[in-house]
Amino acid sequence: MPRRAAFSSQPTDTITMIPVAKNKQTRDWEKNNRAHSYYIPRHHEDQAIIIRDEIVGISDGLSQSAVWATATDVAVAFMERALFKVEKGAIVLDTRLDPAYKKTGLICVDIEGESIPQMITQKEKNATRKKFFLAYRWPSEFDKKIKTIAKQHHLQTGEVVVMLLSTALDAYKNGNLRLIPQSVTVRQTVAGAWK
Amino acid sequence: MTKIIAITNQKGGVGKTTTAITIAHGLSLRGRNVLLVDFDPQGQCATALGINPEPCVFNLLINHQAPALWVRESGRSNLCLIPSDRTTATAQAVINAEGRSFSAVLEAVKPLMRGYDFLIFDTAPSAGGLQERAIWAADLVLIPTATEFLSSDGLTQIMSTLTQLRETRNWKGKLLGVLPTFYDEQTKESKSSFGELQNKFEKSLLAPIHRATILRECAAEGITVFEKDSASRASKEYEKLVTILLKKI
Repeated sequence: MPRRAAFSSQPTDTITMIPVAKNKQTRDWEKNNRAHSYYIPRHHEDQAIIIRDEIVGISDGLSQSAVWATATDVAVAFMERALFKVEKGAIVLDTRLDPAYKKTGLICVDIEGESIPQMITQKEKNATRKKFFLAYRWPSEFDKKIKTIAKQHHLQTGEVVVMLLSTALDAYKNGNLRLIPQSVTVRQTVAGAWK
Repeated sequence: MTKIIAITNQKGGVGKTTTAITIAHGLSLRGRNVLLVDFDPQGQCATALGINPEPCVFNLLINHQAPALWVRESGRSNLCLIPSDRTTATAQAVINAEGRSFSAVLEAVKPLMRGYDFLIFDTAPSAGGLQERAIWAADLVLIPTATEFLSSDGLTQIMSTLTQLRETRNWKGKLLGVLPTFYDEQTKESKSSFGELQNKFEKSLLAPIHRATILRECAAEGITVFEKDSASRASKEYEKLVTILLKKI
């Protein structure tokens, strides 16, 4: 006698109607594509805020014209262009001492050794202010290049990021840099539906 | 959040108890607090773990005292048990006679849920009312099935029970997977049966557990396969299963 098929007489519906537990959502992509965060020195904060807002504005503008781009996409495009220009020598970093960065002050010292109450200095007041950071999820390669540039010129990474993004932003505003939408592959899935 | 996993199949001898105790111990070895609840009147979860069967499930369901009174230490860290014995069948008869709601089992174990990461329910190979209530309480259902014709045939019965619970009792649980057990690629029947399961269940079919003498020896010795020989194939297969479960939960 030939072997009977176990499920031949059973309706398939019963099996397909029970939902199957799927794998938990992992954060692997986020782990592999970490956001890089840069401390922005006080005297660059205002400029950094303007750049950040303008980048968000550009991405919003693109989205309205049916080009779905996030602020990170725009920042990546800007930084890619800026780093390319730096490597090519089209952007030259000319560093000089920033008078706003270092301060000299006077401290009262009693020669008889008696302690004198000091006035609260500007630095202490600032300590309560929240530090400002710019963060974008761009490739680690960009981050390495930014750090190399910062090291070469004895700058803070945040300063380099602000400077490079601002050059790219200027180029965008002048029409020297255009953002062209590119299609990306997304994973698709199919789900059955019935009435 | 505590998750309840029911190990169920209306067909007997498919490896439900072995799977329940091994998964429970596997999860506890990974640092999860596990409570194994034996809803089978045969009370073999306790025996398989080397402890005495007791009417604890009966008391849990019928006796309105604090449920924690019926929890027993298994002698293994992070693993506790509510053992069962033949009085569980009486508890089922009482529940049916009283016409208790489908949430009876869930209500009974609810006060215990805070202390555990997982509640594993081992169920009896029957559909007498208690098993349905245990499934109804479960977030996830794992169906072990032996790789042979009659087990595959019986599998459709449990699937239709699940469908009924979903349609008529608004059961919200999900299928964790169908677990082929007693797999033996040397035999034609086992291979054919496994092939049928693959065709039928596709992605919800889990990696098979091979037929292994060590699993029978473990039951005789009152230890789990992880305690007997952690390097054995059965141990590795159950370890993989625990990993898969943790990914899904």
